Amino acid sequence: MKTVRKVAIVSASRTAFNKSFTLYKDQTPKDLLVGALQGLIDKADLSEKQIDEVVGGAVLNASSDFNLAREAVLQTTLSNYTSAYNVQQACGTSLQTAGIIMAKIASGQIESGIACGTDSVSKVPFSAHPKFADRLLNVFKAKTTMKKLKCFKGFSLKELIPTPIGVNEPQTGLSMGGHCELMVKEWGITREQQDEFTFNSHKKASQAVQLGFNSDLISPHIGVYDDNILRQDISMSDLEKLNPAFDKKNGTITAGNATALTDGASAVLLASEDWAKKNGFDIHATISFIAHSANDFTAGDGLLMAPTIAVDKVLKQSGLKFQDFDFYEFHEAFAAQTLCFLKAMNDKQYNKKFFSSNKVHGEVDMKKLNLVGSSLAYGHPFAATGGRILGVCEKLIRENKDLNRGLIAICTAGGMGVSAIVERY
Amino acid sequence: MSANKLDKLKLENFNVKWDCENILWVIIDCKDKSENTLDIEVLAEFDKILDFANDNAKELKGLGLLSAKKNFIMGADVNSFADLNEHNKINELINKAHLIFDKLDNLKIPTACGINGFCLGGGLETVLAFKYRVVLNNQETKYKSSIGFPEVKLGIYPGFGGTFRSISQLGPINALTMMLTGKNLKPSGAKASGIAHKLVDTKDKLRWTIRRKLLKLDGKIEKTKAGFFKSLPNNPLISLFVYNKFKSELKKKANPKHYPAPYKLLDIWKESLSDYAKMQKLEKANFAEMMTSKTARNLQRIFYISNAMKGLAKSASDKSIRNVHIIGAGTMGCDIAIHCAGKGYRVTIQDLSDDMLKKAKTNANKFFKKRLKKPELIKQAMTRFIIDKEGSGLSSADVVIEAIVENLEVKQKLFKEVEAKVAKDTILATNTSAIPLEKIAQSMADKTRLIGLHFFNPAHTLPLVEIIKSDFVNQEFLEIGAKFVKDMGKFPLIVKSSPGFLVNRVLAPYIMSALKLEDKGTYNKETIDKACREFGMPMGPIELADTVGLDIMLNVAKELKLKIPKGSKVEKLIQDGKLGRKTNSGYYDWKKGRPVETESVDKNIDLSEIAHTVLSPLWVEAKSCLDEKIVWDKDRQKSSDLIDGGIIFGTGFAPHLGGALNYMKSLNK
Repeated sequence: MKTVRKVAIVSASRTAFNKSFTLYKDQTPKDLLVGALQGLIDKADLSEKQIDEVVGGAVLNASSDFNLAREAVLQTTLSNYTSAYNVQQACGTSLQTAGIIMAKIASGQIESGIACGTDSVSKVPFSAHPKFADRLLNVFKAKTTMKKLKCFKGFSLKELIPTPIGVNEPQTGLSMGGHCELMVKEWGITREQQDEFTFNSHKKASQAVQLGFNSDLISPHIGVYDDNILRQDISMSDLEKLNPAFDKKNGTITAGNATALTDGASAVLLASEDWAKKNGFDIHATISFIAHSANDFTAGDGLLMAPTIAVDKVLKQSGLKFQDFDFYEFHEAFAAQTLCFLKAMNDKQYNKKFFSSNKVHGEVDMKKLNLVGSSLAYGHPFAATGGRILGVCEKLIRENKDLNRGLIAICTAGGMGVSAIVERY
Repeated sequence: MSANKLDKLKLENFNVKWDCENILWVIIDCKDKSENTLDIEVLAEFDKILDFANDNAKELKGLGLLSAKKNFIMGADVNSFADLNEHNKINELINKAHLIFDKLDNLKIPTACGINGFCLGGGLETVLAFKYRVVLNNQETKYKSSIGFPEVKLGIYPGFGGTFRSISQLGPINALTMMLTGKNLKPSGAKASGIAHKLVDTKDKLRWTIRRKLLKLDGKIEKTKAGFFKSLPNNPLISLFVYNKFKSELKKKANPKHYPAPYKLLDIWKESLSDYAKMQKLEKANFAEMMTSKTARNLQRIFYISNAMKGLAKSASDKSIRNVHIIGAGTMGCDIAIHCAGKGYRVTIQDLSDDMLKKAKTNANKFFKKRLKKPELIKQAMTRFIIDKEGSGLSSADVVIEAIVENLEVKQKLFKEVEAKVAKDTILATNTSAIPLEKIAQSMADKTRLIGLHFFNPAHTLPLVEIIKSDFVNQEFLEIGAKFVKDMGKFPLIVKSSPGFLVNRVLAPYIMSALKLEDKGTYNKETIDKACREFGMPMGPIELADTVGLDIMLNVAKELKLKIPKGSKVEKLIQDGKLGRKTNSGYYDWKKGRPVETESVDKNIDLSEIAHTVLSPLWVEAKSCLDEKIVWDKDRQKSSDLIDGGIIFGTGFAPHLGGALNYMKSLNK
């Protein structure tokens, strides 16, 4: 979609990203979202103000928080007249929510919005066995004691074992890592390449942290300021020692070169030029294009390869080449996923099949990729990653004269992808 | 119909609504004030509302009280009662207040209140007359609910019916502990003690929890007396034991001659036990005497002063401080770092020595374990205490505090290096107690950003921080520094950059006079220390000299150009390497961090006279500080107040006397 009005990335804030079951172990996704939103509110001085829309989501949301975004808004100091709703597109959630807000601002429907996302693996909601859930519902409906008792006919103890909401692909039954192993085989990515890519992500992030890059992007929540996944002292030999995590025999994906289970939340304030200026903000970056895509992974396309299609779409919309960017922010679900993605963009057959093009998109300068590290180093609280990346992009443009245009790509479960272009205002 | 009737009440401090379910919502929102406080007008309006509720009791389901402000009720408005000097006027007011709260307690409809933020003193007495109390227990630490009776700190006890209402509902142990210590309860404590019937996690839920309760009660009024076990200490036999226990605890903390109010309160309870009517009578009868006592006057003065000191921390800038970088992991640097991390700042601590850093981390862990108790809080605090040998925290620091050796050249070099690495608006602070800021700043490109933050040892417990103002300082940086100090829970005092600043300048001549007197041999050190403690100092001057370290003590004295007679005992002790507590030997021998008293206190002598001899240099020096305008005070209205505050919070100078200058004035009268 070509934007009609410019859409500014005004401000961004997130909680620290913490390894699951550590410092946020008692925090629900909603608690974390409140933390991220309040951080943004304090940073951008939005207390008691009404924002047109807050759009947010969580991949692992408890059914009791059915109105997650609105409930979170009510717990912050935003005006209660701020409307909010949930959107969920797996790991693309908070970039997708930014897309929705962007479209509404661009077309003049709204002036301001907050895109946000949150996830916690520490507080994964459990659900009852479907059979057992049926019985309980029948008990509620039954009117006499006899009828109530009858509901338990044929009861088995197995039904009492609750199941956590899973992140396995429902169609294939395979885990995300399992699917990524298939992509590794298809694209011939080696263990060494993955470990090296991971090493670099940690190194770049370490350098950024040393320079205080994240200090104004993270707002302390329950007294926690710092991400705790990043290993500043990481070494290749440490990574090489790890055993494969998904395919124990022949696999190459390890706990090191895959993103860690992470708790955290992020929030990004988007607005029209008018609104931003009226409220006293300097605009540095805008979000100008966004596209979504899906592939047929059930028929054998790589599960996490759909971002290629999304990138192809934004390139076509904008008329830009894959090489026309000063920096690239490609989410690293697995080191292998980013590597497969890059390889596919330069593969003739793949380009022909998916983009109906005889030319390839080609390669990008790896020096421009994930300048401050990405999800392998910071962690990946599924729905919050898009917001983190938008914040990074805005800051890169704000602080570096030479960085005028960036390309974002994020893969999601269900064989989907989101891509966006951010540009200097 | 109801709206019309309500309009007739003409309320200015309350917003009252009669809703469609016949609940009368009373929202307190004191006019033209940032916080809700109870003064005569507010109470009179509240009385009108209660009459209205009683008049309409047949239709109303209940009354719910909420606050429109960030806090609930901060207490009685001390200002509006300050002019009350005559007993009969105080009694008149107290009687009126009791009638109102009794009316509330016996209201014909059920009552419930929702408490957010601070609910103190008169505020707590108000809610204790309600039958159902909901307390907000939010995640955010900034506006955490906090409930307590601070009255003893002002030299009085709760006088709006707080005594018998708390004892009858919470039981004597809970209630007396709160009233005698003046400590506030957090929401969980409020629930355990019986103040809170229910905790909720969002402010919006206060209203809806009250609604559900009032509708459920359907006009029925519940009793709120404490249960059997909680009331057990009211049993005459058990009460004796409890009474003695409380009294011995009290004696450890407060001299009954100086602080009569808590003792009076304890006696009132002992006399009436479960006879609450009698307790109310005694509460009213003794209140005026407490209120007009010198102690109460002086403590109230300190209360104003402490507010004035916090008022110094008003900053126009919206710069918020999060990242604190501390250079130097010695005792002082480490203690400052621990305090800041404990208060929620992200602290990076830098030192050349790995050992010092390691020690700092161990100390921090120990401190947090003792203070925070809960493992997850300790873990969180430790993530904020970051060992940073390379100084990578400088780039994102909002404040840098230097606490290294007192050596001008080293400091100059350090600040030059630091300045090159920090952001433009980072505040640079030195903890020096001796070197003028003007000299340190010589090496800096932008001198205006250097301020002094002078903490006192031990930095995590002493409440005062002197903020040192150089001639060339940027006022904005100074104010942000003051705000930072206030936000970390300490009292800021802005002082000119002159030798000894305020606190050391008044302390040194006082300690020296004690040492000189001891040198003379007329009185032994135990007697001199005892005399000053009896006067109201937290520690005797000779013990203090040992605690500070005799070498440091002497350096300060020299810095201040105090005369030190040749061949004095201090110099000899220093020559022998007996430096005080840190070497386990000085004037006293020290065992396990405590001085060993070897001689007995001289009997049959006037301790008070000794105290006055030893202490008079302190107030004389305080007066010269006033004359020399050592303390910065925008409109020069409160200088003597601020000096008194600084000396009280910096040295512990007998609070019941209301400060050194205040006491000196009373002597001259």
